[in-house]
Amino acid sequence: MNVLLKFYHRLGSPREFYEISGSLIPWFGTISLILILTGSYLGLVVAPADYQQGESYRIIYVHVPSAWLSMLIYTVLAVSAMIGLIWRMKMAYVVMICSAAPGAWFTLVALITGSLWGKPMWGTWWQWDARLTSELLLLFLYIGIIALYNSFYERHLAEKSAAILAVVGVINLPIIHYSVEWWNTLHQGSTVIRSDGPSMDVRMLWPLLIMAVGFNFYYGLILMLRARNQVLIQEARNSWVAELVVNKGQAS
Amino acid sequence: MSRSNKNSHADGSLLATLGRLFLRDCKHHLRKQSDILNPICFFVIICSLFPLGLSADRELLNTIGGGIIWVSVLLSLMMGLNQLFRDDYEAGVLEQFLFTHTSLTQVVLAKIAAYWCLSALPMIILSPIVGTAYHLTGDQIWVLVIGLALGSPTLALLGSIGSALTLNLKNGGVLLAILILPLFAPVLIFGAGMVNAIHIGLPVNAQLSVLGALMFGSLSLAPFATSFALKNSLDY
Amino acid sequence: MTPKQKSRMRLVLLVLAGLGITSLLALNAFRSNLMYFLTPAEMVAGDYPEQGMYRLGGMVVEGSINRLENGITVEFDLTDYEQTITVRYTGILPDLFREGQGIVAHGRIENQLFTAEEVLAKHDESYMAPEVAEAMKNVDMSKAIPASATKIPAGTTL
Repeated sequence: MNVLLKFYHRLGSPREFYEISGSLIPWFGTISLILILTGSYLGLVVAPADYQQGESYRIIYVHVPSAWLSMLIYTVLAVSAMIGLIWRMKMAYVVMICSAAPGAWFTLVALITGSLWGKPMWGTWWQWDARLTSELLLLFLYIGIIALYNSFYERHLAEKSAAILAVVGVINLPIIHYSVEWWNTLHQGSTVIRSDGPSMDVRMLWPLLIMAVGFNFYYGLILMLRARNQVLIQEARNSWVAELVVNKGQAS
Repeated sequence: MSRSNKNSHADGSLLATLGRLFLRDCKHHLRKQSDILNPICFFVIICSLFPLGLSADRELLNTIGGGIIWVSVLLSLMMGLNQLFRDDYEAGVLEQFLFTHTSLTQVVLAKIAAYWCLSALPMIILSPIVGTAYHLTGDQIWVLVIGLALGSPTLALLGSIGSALTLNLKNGGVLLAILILPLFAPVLIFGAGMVNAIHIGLPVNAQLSVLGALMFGSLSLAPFATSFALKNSLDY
Repeated sequence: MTPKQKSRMRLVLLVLAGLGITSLLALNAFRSNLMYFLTPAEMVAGDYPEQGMYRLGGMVVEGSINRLENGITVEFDLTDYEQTITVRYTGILPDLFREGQGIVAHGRIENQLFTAEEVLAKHDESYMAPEVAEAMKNVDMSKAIPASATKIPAGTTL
């Protein structure tokens, strides 16, 4: 526990974060690349076709991981916003704002792939059912957070305002997840996360899980890359950044 | 004012303070009549533009009427929200409230209540007339009015959060729309859905419950979020 | 308690009461179905008027698909295993449309005939390889219970 706490405190300092993340980035990059390549191969080549949808179902290997990630990233964003508001931790706000853009992108990918999938299967690009609409609202929420953050000159105001909005928006998450259970939607129910176990052929399920983990590592990678830039911008006046820049300059 | 608010924590004066703040805001709005009249005129005008732009087809107007009236209310209320705290902010009154330890939550509640009474209520009262122009049936008009009565406090409460967040921004208007219109979506979906559902004879209990739940939920939480956002905007 | 604590206490109680009412109302809402579509049984029971558009959801009855002479108009029966309604649709059907498939049709009802303007196929949440699905079907056959004759348990998405 003590070790964890110490690690948490170390990550809380921008400088330590910069150093730790620097050593983690190659790992995250390699792992996500391997997992996504393996997942794609298993999903697109090895996994059997579906008994109803034939080959078209394979878009699931992009759609579902993105959709999961769109919600996971919002959770990360909202939790770090809470941490920032309560404990005024600098790095929490960095994580929050650096998660917003990737979150928006993954939401958009989920919406677009869903749309591409919906046209041949359901017969429509878009329906205003609860699942689709709430996912669209999630995209708007991400955009709102980014827009609000960017419209302030003073960073501490921007951070806190965006954090408040992020916390208010949490209400959307349970609505997205349970929309398919609470309402008679066109979108089918959950396949993987359900009380009686996944209702999917194991050969189809594994690639999906591998892809999902791969996507998560990819998000981690993007988050760290963005956060490092953000840290450098925010700490530009501190001596360690100056040293870093000077050392880099001499090395090259 | 500051002296009377100083002992606002004394027994029983919670409501009294709220009442005084409410009356103060009402007076303020009534003095600046354009604040109230503009959104209401805006509401009536957009509602009358749709039939001109589409067609006066009776069945079409009946189908879209509920949705259009709801969207118009949403937009008109949002226009006024931009001004909700601005006058007091620019006059430094909000800071005075902070210095005199008046609970900002009360200030927020009173402001929202005054805003609702002077902006939303007139629109609700006008909505049956507009509804008739859209050939809504009697049932539909009832459901529309009840829905607006339940939904518009939620809109004002949620909107106040956005209004507080964008308080010290110069170009807050468009941003406010981006922030709060998505939050308004559930109210719109259930409110307008109800008007259509009653027409084809479906029960509307579920939608009524959702609108009620949204109202009580935002009533219990939004004032705190708004006052927190206000403090942030005041950099307090 | 100091007056300040007292008023804070009162505030907390008020907020809790508000949240309580919220959850009660929300529970009430979720008990009644917030429908994206109606089922044939609901439609028959509700005796719905002929004006207005509905969404009707159900299973396509085996062997009921009937293509009319003009070639693009299709008639089929839609069932929830309690009531059956005949649907007529002119246009392109989605890939997944077939007998025994859950679909959602959007249209209006006239003289017991539901004229759809849009037909959407709903797919279930299970994914299987074709040979597995075939095998499972055979198991069902051996038990002599036609898969389509079993009543759908409540809560299953069609």
